[in-house]
Amino acid sequence: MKVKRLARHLLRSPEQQQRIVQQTNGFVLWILFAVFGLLTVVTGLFSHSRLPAKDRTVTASVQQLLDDHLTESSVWHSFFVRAKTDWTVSVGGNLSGNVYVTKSRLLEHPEILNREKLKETSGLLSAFYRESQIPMCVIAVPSAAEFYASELPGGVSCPSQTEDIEMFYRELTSPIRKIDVYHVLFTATDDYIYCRTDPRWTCYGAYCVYRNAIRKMGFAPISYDQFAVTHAGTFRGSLYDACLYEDVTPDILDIYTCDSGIVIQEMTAQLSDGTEESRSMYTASEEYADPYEFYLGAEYDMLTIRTSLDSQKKLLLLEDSSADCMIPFFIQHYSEICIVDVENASLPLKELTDPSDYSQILVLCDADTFADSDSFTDLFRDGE
Amino acid sequence: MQFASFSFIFLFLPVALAVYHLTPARQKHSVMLGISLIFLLSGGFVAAMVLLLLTAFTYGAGLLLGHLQPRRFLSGLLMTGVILIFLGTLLLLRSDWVQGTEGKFISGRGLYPVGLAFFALQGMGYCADIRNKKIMPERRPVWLFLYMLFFPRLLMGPVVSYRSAQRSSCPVSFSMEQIGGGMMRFVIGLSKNLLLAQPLALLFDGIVQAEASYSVFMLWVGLLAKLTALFLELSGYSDMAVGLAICFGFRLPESYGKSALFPTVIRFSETFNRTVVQWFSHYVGGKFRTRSMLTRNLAVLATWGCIGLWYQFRLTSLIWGIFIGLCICVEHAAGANKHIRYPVAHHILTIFLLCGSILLLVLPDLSSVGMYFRNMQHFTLTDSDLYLLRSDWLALVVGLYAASGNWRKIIQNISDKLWFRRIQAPLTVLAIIVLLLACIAVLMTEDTMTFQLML
Repeated sequence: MKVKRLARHLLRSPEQQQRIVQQTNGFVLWILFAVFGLLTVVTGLFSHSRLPAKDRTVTASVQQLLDDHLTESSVWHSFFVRAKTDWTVSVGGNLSGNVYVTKSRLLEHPEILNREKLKETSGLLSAFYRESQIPMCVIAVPSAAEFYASELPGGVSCPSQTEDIEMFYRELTSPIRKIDVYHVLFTATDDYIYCRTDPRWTCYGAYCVYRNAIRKMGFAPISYDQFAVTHAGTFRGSLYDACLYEDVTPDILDIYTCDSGIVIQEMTAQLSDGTEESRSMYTASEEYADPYEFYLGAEYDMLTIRTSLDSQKKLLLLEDSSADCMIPFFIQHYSEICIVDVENASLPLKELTDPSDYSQILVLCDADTFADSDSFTDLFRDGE
Repeated sequence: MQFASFSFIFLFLPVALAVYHLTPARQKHSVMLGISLIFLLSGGFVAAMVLLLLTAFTYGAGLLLGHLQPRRFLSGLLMTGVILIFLGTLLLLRSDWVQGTEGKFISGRGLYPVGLAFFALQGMGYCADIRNKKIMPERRPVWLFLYMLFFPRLLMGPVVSYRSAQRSSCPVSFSMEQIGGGMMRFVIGLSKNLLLAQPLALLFDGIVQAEASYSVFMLWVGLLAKLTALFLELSGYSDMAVGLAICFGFRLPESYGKSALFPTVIRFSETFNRTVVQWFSHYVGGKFRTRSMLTRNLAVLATWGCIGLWYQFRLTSLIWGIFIGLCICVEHAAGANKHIRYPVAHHILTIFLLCGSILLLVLPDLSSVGMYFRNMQHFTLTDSDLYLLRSDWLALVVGLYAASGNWRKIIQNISDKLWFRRIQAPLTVLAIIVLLLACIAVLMTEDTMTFQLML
């Protein structure tokens, strides 16, 4: 029997052998493609995730949209992402996609800010200030890599945003107040100021900046002792979702409650479809895809908060999601806060609210958001 | 549409293969055209319309050229118009002005159909062949549209003349062996592109964009990585095109040699993107028919200058083309293509020349090229070097080895050994599955795959 089997292999010519290999390959790959394809279609059809709307132009590729949807909804997505990250780390790398993996945290590879766009944004903000003549403060939040680059292995090229932010501040008209976040946070890097699995800052990081910002806005800050801090739970943020690296400790959702007696009386969100809904400061995060939506809830165009404070001070806050966890500190000083989401607002600012109703304006966004001048162009446009 | 995409591999390809092989032989060409049109449209409606309009124009121009064949002046005028239309479209859609357009309804990047550079060569070649009475104009629109829009070679070629395309299109009956061979080639090409070319290209991009300082050694490693990445990407796409064509019963010419290690620049010119070089040699170099050494050298310079401009319409690319042309002329004069006395030294010199010149092709202007060379100041390894070597050593080693083509020789040597014959089938299948799974992992985790050159 063994002799026969040996002879069969010997008798075959390399061409015959090649044909057998190709035939086997054909069968196996055919089945593999069909099974993968079928499962992909089935999971894609029954997936609840909507087609991502990254590109809505007429030049958009249907395939790109379909690919994004299929990869997100695929049953193997987590398996492959985890496997790739583990492989990258095991062969000595630490960059998975756009995320640096370190022992204690995940860091987003900082974007090189577009200086021209930053100048455009500063021009738009200056023009808005000249038009409204309302005291205005601007806070540009640098990325976490600015403070934790030392945790990366030596030699990693990590572009700094500091110079670009300084340039952006210089370009703003002089009466606009600029809050230097870099030096405030740099002294607190040993504390929990940035999330470990998300690119945004923590409530404590926001508090550190609030303490400085509110002074420049003419108030005395509420001391940290006056807040009771409770933990609402833990979460893993978008950086974790991008690489699924398990060894980093999850982040904590903090609730800051002040004993000053000032409470929220009304909190109404205006959504992009024009409807209004009542909101609370903290919402169970399980309901949302982004755990950071624990603060103020899901995306909105505008959110109006009325507090029990008896004062004429009203704040117009133009922000992105990083500012959400700072709101509990601001409600201690204002009778009304109107929050407009710069990135998600579907209507121009003038149609959402009348800026002249407010006594102060604060623009608080990530440096990356300021470098996307299109959002601000849309926000400050004259209207439909 | 992209070959290196989830929806192409697991949806489009299996369905297209099933539909094509279930179709009766007489309708196979129409079905193939239908499949190619779906492939084209899924990549973006506007980009698809650009190619469809150009194909319709080529069809009309071909008929008109056939009609005007006896009148040399008029047909010459029309031919000039054809060249201007193709080159004009290519230049316009590649220009920074169009590429930088980002509107609410239109994106400049989405206007450019990938593979337009190859497509333009085929269109111009078809019309030139009719004018030169080498072929008759095609009257059947389905055949001409299929020739121009055949989806396996739509993205990165190879460039095929109409006569060769007609000869190679011989629809055959369904054969699992043929599909297996084609898919194997496709997966190898996909792996070259996703697993090796992409990380190597990123390594070079990291060096160019980084603010950190690198040593002379690392800067040259970066250049070697970029050259290897380009070879692996282009030859990977060629492998995918050839593999897909085999699955559908068509044969495409090989565009790349089996190795990226060239003993001479002449050898590089003969095996790197062969079909494009042949096209330019035929239609540009062929105009200088003479025995004079000087004119022949001028023909080489003109041919390679045009090839440089074909890659990128920039001064640096033109200089790259002329530099390669000059190297070829010098090697011809020195008889380097006939007698290679010191093969190792020849290989090293050629790698050095190609790596140094590749900067002209991939960087946008001369100041960036100068900056790269000016950065070559530190002779000791820096922290940044060590980090890059530590994180990318595997891609670098495997990529260089794969590009060397040495693995083919090893497989060839052991293919008649009994032990290998026994395990060849399961081993090959296993290797292909592992490669495919690794490619899926990359597709799942990375964003859109980008091409290193806009061709």
